Amino acid sequence: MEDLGTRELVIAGGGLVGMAVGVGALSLGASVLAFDAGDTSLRASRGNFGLIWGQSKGARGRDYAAWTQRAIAAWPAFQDEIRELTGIDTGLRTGAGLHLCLSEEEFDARSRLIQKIAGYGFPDNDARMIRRDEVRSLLPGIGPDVVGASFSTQDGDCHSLALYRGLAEAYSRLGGALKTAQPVLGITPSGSGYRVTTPEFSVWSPRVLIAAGLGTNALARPFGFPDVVIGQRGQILVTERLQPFLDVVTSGLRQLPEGTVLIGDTKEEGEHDRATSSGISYLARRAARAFPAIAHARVVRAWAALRVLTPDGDPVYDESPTHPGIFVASTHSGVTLASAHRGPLAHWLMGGQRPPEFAAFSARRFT
Amino acid sequence: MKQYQLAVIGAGPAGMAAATEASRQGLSVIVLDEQAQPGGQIYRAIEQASPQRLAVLGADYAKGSALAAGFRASGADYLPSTLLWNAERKDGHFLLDLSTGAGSRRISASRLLVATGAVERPVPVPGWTLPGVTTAGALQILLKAHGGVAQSAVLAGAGPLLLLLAQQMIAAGVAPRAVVEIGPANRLRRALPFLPRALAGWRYLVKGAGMLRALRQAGVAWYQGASGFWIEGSGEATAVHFEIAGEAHRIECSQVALHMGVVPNPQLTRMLRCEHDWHPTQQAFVPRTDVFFETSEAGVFVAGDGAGIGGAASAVLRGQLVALRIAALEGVRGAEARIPAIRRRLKRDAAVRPFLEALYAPAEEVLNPTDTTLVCRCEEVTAGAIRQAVAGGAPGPNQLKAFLRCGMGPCQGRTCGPAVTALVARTRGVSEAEAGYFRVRPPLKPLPLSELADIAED
Amino acid sequence: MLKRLEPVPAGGADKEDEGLEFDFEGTRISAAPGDTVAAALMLAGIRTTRSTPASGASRAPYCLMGSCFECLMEIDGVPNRQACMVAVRPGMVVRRQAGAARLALTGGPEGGL
Repeated sequence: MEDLGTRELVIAGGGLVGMAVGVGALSLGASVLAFDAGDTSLRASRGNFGLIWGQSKGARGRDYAAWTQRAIAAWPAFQDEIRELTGIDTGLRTGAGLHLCLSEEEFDARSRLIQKIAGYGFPDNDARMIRRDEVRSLLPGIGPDVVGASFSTQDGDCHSLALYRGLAEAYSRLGGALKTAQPVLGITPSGSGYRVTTPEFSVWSPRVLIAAGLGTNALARPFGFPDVVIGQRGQILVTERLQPFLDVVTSGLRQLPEGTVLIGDTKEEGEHDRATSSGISYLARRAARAFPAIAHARVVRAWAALRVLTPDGDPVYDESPTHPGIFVASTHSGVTLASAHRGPLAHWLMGGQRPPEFAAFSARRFT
Repeated sequence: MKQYQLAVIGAGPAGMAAATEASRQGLSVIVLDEQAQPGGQIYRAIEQASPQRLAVLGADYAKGSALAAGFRASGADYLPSTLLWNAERKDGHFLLDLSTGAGSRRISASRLLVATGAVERPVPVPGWTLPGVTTAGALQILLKAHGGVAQSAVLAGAGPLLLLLAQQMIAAGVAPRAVVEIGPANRLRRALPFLPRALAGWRYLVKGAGMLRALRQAGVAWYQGASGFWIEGSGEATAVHFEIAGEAHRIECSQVALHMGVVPNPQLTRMLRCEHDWHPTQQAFVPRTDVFFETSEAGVFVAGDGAGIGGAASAVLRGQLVALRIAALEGVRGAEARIPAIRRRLKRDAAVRPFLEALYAPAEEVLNPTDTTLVCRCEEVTAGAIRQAVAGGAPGPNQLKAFLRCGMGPCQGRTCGPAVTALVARTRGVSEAEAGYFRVRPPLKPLPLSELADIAED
Repeated sequence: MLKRLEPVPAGGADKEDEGLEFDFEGTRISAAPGDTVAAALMLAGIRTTRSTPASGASRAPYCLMGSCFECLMEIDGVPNRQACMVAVRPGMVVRRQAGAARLALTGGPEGGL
């Protein structure tokens, strides 16, 4: 086993969360090493739908809405930083984010959610419910079942795979070390810090961030954390490349810059495992009801990827109650929140101020 | 929903033989095949072949006639022009979702036999995407199914198919302009240690000698030990370039057929999440099976070249063996009695393989292409971009998909898959087994969304 | 160049299954029974059958066995079909696939399949 010496921060997990925090810590001047799992590990970062989305965040409380607002506000500068470092355009596109409702029941439920979050009074959140005719003026071609939608000009999407690649490349440009195919096997207290071991390497650090998707629970348990991650598969369909035809973003159907269309579960916090023919079929039928012309498009892949949900859907950012320096970060919103992970989260990990929202994101709420 | 004891995917030699034998044993069998007629690629259009075409294509091709006739008479249900796009387990059965050209359809089967054969190894050389460049298999399909031949063609690469195609073109009266063997000049010397064992398969050696004789008699230029192969052309292929022992060659041509051997078609066994092992002499991933060709996924069998390259005669034997095994598992008494004899014939038929694998090992220059060479044809990703992404932290093909869209185009990684594995392994300095392969996901081929929406709810 | 060993059967009202003709971008192409669209075009001397969505580069059928997806064409108004897997039918209208498919935004689903 090779001893890699010491680092100021070691990250278990090279996904969207780990890389965003890594970029933030590196730009504060810290030395950082990240370990990542293998090529076929279940990766939420590859299955992300890619929305930049605020309108529905915060059903359980104001703090998640506040944290999301901070992240969205920071996104343009964050995108510029990635572009300057790597030349990669992460494709931020906001101005029209729609969640289509296919029945009056869906519309009513959505209205209550949007109203509650509007009640927090964030000035940039202009989400409101609109009826069918207004939806159609924004998105001609909706199907007869669309009764209305929630709509926000603050919301949109980015090219999430470009973001993932851009973060990994920015991390490396800033001098971050990434060891792939090296899942973390153990984190053990050693002196005033911790020794982190993988199949081939070991490294010492005063600070360890566990951001390892499904692997998070097992790594965090010895440090007094309750289980914070529920693995759940969400399904996405991806079409062939198509000429540009869709310039607004909906929560279940959006077109990427290269022309492919992503079709996802419109339940933003899904409750089912649909990595099956019937799951594919369910998504296909729902997409065709929302936007009938999409029935013509060819589906190239059905993508069942891990969705990293916490038990209540809100993020977890916490330090171990028993072992100072061991941190856990977990959220299924690794795209929207990437800018906040790069900023305030990384700052806190490296000894800066704890963001005020984080009181609500403690893992202790699950004990 | 109709239920079968056995669903066979693919109507080539293995699939036809298995379906015929399983039907004879009294099993309910269905055969699903993407082509409109039985035969697979090796016996493509066998039922339509005119005497003239049979004469051109040779005796081994003609053997497919009896096989196809037996299959037609077997009583097995047969769905041609049908794509299996997903298969999943439910209550001890497999639910199979089919695209029939007239919407989706679902059947169920107790066991599956994957008989989807082989695909040609990608040959990423500069210019391989130009119009006028095809696989050697494509030119052979033109000959078998459409009576078409290429004039002024250069056949390049390595492998028995390259020489067979040359021989068939000569028989058709349109000899290739040249045959260019890419790779080491001393192929034969490297393979000689395997020759004694191969003598047990002397018929293959005689056939090979016949190909070389045909080439010589027709006066076809035969280049060996070529390296630095590339195809010239703007808009379409106009010439090939290569070097032999430091001497540069350029041959004008309008058609180039590339070949660097075949590998098991991995799509269906990968989608079914069967375990695969790296086969170092075949230079390919092969599904892991037991002695009855059952994969790591219980109830999923694989026969024919999909179980490891063995050729058409072995494919038939493997198909029969699997059919007898499944019949025994389904309670047919005495079904396994013939298996030992089939095993002996399989062993004899395979004797020539180590010699051929050593003789026609893929050339290093197609496994490790130059930086500017396209590897993923669909998304136009170069070898250089892949090397850079691997250096930047992509450990394998699946992360390359995410970073580069490599393998994300309409062919779903079918064409570039083996090349990406080889390149990752060489860039990382690890084995191909560690480099890994693309995850294959449903639908097995791109399908209209309306067709996916069409299947019955469970 | 590619050529046929056997002549294409001539068309005629008295012969069924023979004289398969279809339209390729305004040109009439003769096919033989059993021809796929890709084979018929190749044997008629058509060299390029699509341009790629990524760079616009010219491509043509490559494997002819349904694996490589290089032969994608617009057949009877439906984009991105594998021309090597589609049998020629008389009167078909075939066009090169120019880059990414255009989604038909009007008409029912049956119009695009």
